[in-house]
Amino acid sequence: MDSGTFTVQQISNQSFILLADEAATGSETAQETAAAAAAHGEALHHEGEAVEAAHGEEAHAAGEAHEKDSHPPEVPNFMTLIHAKYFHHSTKVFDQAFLGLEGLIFSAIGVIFVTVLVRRAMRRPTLIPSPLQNLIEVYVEGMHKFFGGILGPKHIDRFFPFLIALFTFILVNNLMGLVPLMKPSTSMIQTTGALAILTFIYVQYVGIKDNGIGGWLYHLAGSPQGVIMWVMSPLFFVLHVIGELAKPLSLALRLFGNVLGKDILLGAFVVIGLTIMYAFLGNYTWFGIPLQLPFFFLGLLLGLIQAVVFALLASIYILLMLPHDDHEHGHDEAHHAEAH
Amino acid sequence: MAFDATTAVSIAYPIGLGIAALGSGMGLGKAVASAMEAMGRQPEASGKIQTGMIIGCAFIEALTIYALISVFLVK
Repeated sequence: MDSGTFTVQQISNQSFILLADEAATGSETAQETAAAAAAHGEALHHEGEAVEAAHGEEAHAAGEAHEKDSHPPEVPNFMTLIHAKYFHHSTKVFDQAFLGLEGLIFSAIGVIFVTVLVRRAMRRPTLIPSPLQNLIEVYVEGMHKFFGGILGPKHIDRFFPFLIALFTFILVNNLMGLVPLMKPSTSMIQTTGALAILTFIYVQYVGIKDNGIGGWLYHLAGSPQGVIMWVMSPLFFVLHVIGELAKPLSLALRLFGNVLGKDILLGAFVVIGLTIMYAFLGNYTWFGIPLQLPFFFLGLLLGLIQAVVFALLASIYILLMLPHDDHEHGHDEAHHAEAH
Repeated sequence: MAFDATTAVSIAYPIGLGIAALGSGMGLGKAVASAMEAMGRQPEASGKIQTGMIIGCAFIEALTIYALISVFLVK
């Protein structure tokens, strides 16, 4: 059999269903379904390849080619496995759109996990804390110190809930990409775009609320102070507005690109591992050589860094929107506090 | 092999990505070099310097990532 590229989802889904069927029936039918799965998996190629000529079933298999073919390889999660097993050949609207719920369900899993953890830890806070409570307290105090160093002690209490919620959400969602059978919801542009739009709206709201509408427009026009600056202020206004719109775009794309890049990297190495296992065994199984293990550490590092960068940029944008004389004062106090 | 849009894009994307990686490599090298030098001058401040270096590197890296994901968004 020629070896070609195939998407990990197809191969893993077929192998998973194959193993589930094998447990239910006998192993002889499993052999036949293995051959069918091999032909099916090999025939559904990336469009540029012309290797399908050898197989007889490729007409049948190509007839039901799904549109996920030309997408970059991704490791399957439990939703794609459910979709492949039960919903794949159904024509009901909900079953076809099941995969669109991926972002929602994985974000919800992350949020529910954090909520349950914190509620259990802080149920009865004692002076000498239990280990879980200690962990939550260390985390919150560390974040408070970190963001307090940027925003200053005057404003930190007002913006801290938003910033720590943003940071925790992004961190938990990034790290869910390392758990088997789960997918980081920040690898979809929907989630990161929503986070960036939320940050943008919140920053503008803070600007309007603290400066007033006139003050906000004045700030956007570059705070003109003399005749020359008043004349150039329309130009500054346009430049500033474009800059303000570019900020959430860059936030969203940075987070999305990093997390999706890591996902694709993992997927590519899983495909290589499966191909090597196929070369050894001559048959598809659902596990391969775990070549993607070193990249989990890269994923840990990148997930943490991207969460830090997103929350840090959000706090800096908030800081820039606040009235400027207060911002200087806050910095001096913070520097004094840190020097002691 | 007709020289049409698909072929042109297939040639141009990797070259563009290579140029983006080159730029970010130079930028990151300069940033990390100056961070190392500052840490050598004042070792007791190396915690803050390291934090700042990581954050700066994330920004520079993001530019290459924009080029990378544009490949996946189109094709």
